[in-house]
Amino acid sequence: MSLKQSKFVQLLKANEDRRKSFELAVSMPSGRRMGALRLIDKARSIDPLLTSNLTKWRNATKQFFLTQFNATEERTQQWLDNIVLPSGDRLLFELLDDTGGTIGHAGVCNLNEHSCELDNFIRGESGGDPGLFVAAECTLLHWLFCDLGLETVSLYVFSNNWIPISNHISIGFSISKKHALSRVEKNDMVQHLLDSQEGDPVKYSYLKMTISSADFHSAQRQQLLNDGR
Amino acid sequence: MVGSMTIRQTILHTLKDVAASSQIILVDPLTDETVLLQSGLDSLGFAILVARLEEQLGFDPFTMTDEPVYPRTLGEFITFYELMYQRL
Repeated sequence: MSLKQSKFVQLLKANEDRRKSFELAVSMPSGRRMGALRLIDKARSIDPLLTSNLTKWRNATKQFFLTQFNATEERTQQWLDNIVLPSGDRLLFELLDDTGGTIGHAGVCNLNEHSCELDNFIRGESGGDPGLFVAAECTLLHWLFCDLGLETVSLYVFSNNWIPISNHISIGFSISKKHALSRVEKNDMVQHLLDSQEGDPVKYSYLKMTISSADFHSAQRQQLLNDGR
Repeated sequence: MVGSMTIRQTILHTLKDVAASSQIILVDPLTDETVLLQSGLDSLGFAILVARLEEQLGFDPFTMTDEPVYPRTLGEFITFYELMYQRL
C-alpha cells in the first residue's frame, strides 16, 4: 500500500471526536437513506456497548470463521486496540439502520493500491430494510472503486454460508478459487486448515470470491435497468 | 416428513414463524418463484430459519455438500432441502 493511502486510513481512524467519525451514507437507488457505515475510530472504539455487540455477534456467527473460539469483551477490545486501529491497511465499520441503531459491521483488510478484501461482514441484529446489507456492501464497493481507485476486491466465505454468497453474487462477485478445508480442535479452539493433509476433512470448502471495478459497475448498471422496468 | 408435515410444509411454517417472531412482514403472495432476498426476511432471519429447520428436521443441507449451493428462489430452497433429505 502507498504511504499516502496508509496515512489516509490512519488519519480516519485517529479521530477522537464522536461527532466527526467518518461515515458513508447507505441509500436506495431512489435516494432514500437506509442507514450508514460508520468507521470505528479511536472515539468509537472505547464505547463499551460496541465492544459488547462485537463480542456477542462474533460468538453468534463463529461457525463461519476459520478460527473459532469463545470471544470475550476483553479479547475484542484488545483486537480493536492492537490490530484494527493501528493497522494502515484495515478498516472496520459499524452498520447503522435508518434509526441510527447499530445492527452489524463490515470490514476491509489487506488494503493496497490495487485491491483489498472485505471481511467481518456480520448482521448481528434484525432491523432496518431487509436489503440494507446488500446496499451497504454496494456503498462500500463504490467507495473502494471510485474514491480509492481500487481495481479488484475479494472476500473469503465458507461454501455452506449460502446467504452471504447469494448476496455477493447478486452484487456481481464470482467464485475465483476453492480451497479444501480440514478441522483441528485444540485448547477449546477450532481451527480450519486450507488444502492441508492434517486435521479432519470437512464437507464444506473455503471460497474466494472476486469482483473487478468493471464487473461491479456493469452489475450496478444492470440493476438500475432492472429496477426501472 | 416431520410428524405429519412434509419438508415443504415444515419450511413454509417455520419461515412464517421466524418472520412473525422477528416482526417481519413477508411478501404476499409467497410462491416458489419468490426471490429469497426479496421475500422480506433479512440475512439474520435466514440464518435463524436454517438453525430452526436443523432442530426440526435434524439436518442442515448446506453442510452436506462440498459444492456451494445458493438457492435464489423459495422453490429452489425447498427443492434443495427435499433433495438432501432423500440422501440422509
